[in-house]
Amino acid sequence: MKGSILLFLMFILGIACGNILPSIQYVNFDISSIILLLLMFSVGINLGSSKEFIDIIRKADLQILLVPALTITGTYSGMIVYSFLTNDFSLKELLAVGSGFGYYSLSSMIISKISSETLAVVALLSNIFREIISIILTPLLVKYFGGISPIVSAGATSMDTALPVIVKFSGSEYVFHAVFNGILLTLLVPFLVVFFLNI
Amino acid sequence: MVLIIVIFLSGILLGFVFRKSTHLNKLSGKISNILVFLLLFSLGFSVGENEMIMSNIAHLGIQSLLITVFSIVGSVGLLIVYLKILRK
Repeated sequence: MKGSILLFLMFILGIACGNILPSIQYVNFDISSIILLLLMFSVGINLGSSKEFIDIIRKADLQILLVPALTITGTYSGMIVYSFLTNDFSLKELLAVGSGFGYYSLSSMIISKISSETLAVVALLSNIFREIISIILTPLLVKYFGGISPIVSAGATSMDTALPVIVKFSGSEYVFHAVFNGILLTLLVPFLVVFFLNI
Repeated sequence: MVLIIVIFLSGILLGFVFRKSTHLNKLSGKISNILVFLLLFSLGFSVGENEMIMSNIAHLGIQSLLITVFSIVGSVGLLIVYLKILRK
């Protein structure tokens, strides 16, 4: 819990600084990309040198497909329920936004080209929220619902931005589920978003 | 995207080659902790400096947040249902 609060405060501090200092966009973009790459590198070192690493590779099987299947059907179930509660969006719009699975840059870009700007902003925001909320909630999710739960919550981001937090709190034995889930969903995002907007 | 995976895999390879060094493992753990905080800060920063997001956040924020909540609750909820069925 302490970890979640600190991460959230860090995010709020980031918003405040970004709002006050709006002129260093280029610098910020480069820095966050570099941070992400450094993070992937250090998490990689951490994984490669962990004692369980060889065991995990040996245990990998077809059941690994189950996690992305649960992420997709779970997300769509949530969107179907929400479509009964809102008049602002149609079901296919909700399914298209949900199909971002946290991958906000790509999904909002596709939606802005095929559909409305408003839906694109909603896709951008809700998928950013999905990434951030999943990262922040990871310690709590692991505590109450087990190591897989932050992976289905993080969706496509379980292989990049959310991965370090998932590895830290779920444990390194979940890393292949997280990476596989993220890679598969990231690959599916453009196809699924386009599919629901063209129904 | 490709670069991220290449960097990640080369980190794993490096860690695997030097897996007998517990010092390296601890150091990379500490560094990744710090980087997670920096990453969340920079995520917040890009939200804060994006005028389109900041000016629309009142109108669209709540709707977007609800979509997020239903996505996450749906995913984790289905997982919980699956795990309960599996255990029985």
